[in-house]
Formats: sequence, structure tokens, C-alpha cells
Amino acid sequence: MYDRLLQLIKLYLPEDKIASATPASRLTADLGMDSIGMLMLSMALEEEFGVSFREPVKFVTVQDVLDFLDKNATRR
Amino acid sequence: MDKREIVIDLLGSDLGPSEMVEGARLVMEAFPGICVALAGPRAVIEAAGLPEGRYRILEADKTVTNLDNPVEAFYRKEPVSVFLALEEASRNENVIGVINAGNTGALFAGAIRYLLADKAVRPCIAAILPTTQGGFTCLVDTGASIDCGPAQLVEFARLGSDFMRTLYKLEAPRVGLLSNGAEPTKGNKLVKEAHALLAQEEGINFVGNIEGNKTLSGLCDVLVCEGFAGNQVLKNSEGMAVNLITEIVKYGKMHNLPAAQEIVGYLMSRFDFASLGAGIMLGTRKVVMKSRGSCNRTAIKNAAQLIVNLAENKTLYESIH
Repeated sequence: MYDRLLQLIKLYLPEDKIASATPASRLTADLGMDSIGMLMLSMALEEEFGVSFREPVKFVTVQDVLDFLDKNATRR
Repeated sequence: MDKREIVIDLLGSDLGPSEMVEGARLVMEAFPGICVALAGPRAVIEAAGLPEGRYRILEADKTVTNLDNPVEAFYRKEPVSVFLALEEASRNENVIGVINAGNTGALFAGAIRYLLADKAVRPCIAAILPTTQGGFTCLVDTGASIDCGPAQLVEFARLGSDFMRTLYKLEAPRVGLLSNGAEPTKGNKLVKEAHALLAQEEGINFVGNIEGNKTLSGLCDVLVCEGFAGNQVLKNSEGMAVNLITEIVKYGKMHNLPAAQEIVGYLMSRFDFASLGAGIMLGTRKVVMKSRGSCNRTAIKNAAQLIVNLAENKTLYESIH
């Protein structure tokens, strides 16, 4: 799941940050993902992993996304 | 029977929903086969006495202001006009486009939520600028993405080229890159890297760097830059046009020169940004027009004209479906 998630996240990162993404990376502070990137990521997560969001996405790190998917993904 | 429909978001513009409704009336007069769906307060719409059978109401009293977080506004319980308009465009195949003059961030986020064409391609907002050659240049991006990487500028070039190919039937739209000098060695890190990518990109007719004083010279059909610079170019061009026209009017009055009025009339017909229509989102499944907050009813009609033009030649949208 981590590899698939990383592929998705990379779609929405500034190019110079892609190589540095790790589970501990903070999406905004370290990887430079902006609110539109976060929105596009949440839509991609819905499509790819069958999750849904009832409130604004507030993931801090890549690991937070992984933890969320572990609990909520309906497609793995 | 023509079932085409344009959705107009009535809320968020400086002149208020009544002016937007009058814009809708002009759209109905100009395009007898097209109906409108109006997202906004029912009372304002019903009081306008629009032609029966030509409009529908998408009732909403709320919009997204500049103080709101556009993405968080998605999760409000009450209907928000801009999202209602975009959702309608997403689910109704008769809708050919959406016009909005409110918060740009909300429109951009909403268009991504409901009308994104490709999950890997971030949309952008283009503006069509009149050039001194009598044609138009598509400026992209005008503020949707403030910080960009070089590959994103290549995406903008591709989206802008598709758009100009469709709208103006250009076989190979000339793509320029905004820089502080014409030579390939000029520019900041972003521009130099983007220049190198664009020069070797297949399917893009890259003509090199374009300096700020040449943006309206017609040297390229698509002018690419990151949103921060694009927004400055757009507003600076608009401001300069307004200042020049104002000066000519003042001078004409001061020296009693009737010819000045004629010159102003000509310039207004070429460079009146208020009535030119709107910015257009590229990278969405349907046409989404962003009118200026200060737009008038004529600008709404002109935005609709662009939607109709694009809808009648589906190449751009088929190509990104």
C-alpha cells in the first residue's frame, strides 16, 4: 500500500520534492503540498482506495495517510 | 431540440446578483437556443421577470468569501452557489459551461472536485489577451498555481496549445515563455529549466522567451508562466490600458478634441478588459469561466459566447476526456 500511496502523492508534489518523500515527511512543511494538491490527493485516495471524506483532509505526514488507509480503505 | 444550458453562479460578484441576472438575460437574448440555470437566491431571480421556460433555479443563498477556506467550504451543510453550479455541470450532460464571478479559489477547488479531466494534470486558469497584431494570446497560468515547477509549465503549454488550436483553429500555436530576456540563458532557475524542457518537448511549437514588454505584441499564441507572474502580467496590462484610456479622455476634454473620443472608442473595443469575458479554466471536462469580480452584464454575455464557441468544436474536451 505504501508504494501505491507514494505514487499518488508524487503526482501532487513540487518536482524538486518528489525524491525526498518518506513516511515521516510532512506533506505541507517538508514536501510543499498546497491545499489544491491536498484536495487532488484526497480525490485520488477516494478513487484508488474506496475511502470517503466527510470533513476537510488534515493529514500532517505521509504516515498519517497510511494509518488512515489502514483503518478505512475498502479497496487495497 | 437544443437542450444546451449554461450555468451562471449569481453570487460573489462586486455588482451583486441582480447584475448577474441581467447578464443571464443578455445570454438568453443572444443565444435563443440556449437556456440558463441560475445558482443563487430565488427571490432575486423571480423578481427579474426572465423569459419563462428559458431558465431554471438552483437555489442557494450562500457563497464563499475571500475570508473563507475554499476547500473547507465543501463540507458546509447549506448549499453554496458555486459548488451547486459546478455539481450541476458535472452531472447534467446538457450543461455546456459554467460562469462565475466570485472567489477564484472556491471556483478552482470546486472545478477540480467536480470536473477534473485527468487526476494527474492540475488545471490552470488562462486569460485571452488582445494583441497589437489584431489577434489574441492565451496567457497561462494567471494565478491558480502561484508556485510551479518546470514540468508544470510544460503542462500549461500543452493545455494552452490545445485550447488555442481549438478556439482559433491554429495548427501549431506558438508557445512563448515569460522571462526577463529573450535569450535562453535569461531567467530564474524555473524559467531556465522550463526553457530546456519546452525546447525538446514534442508537440509544442516553442518559440523561446518573451519579455514583459512584448506580452501583447502577438509574438506567441500561448504565453506560459507561473501563476504569480501571470497574475501580475494580467493586472498590469489591464491597469495600463485603463490608465492610457483615462489619459486620452482627459487630454481630449482639456483641449476640446472630438477625435479623442473616436480613439477611445477604438481602444475600448480592443482593450476593454471588463467586457472581454473571463479567464477560462483549462484541464476540466467542461468549460468553466472565471469572470472578474467587477464584471458587468456584457462580460457575462461575452463569457457565454466563448462557452458556445468551445462547445461547438469539441476537439479540446474530447482530447482530454
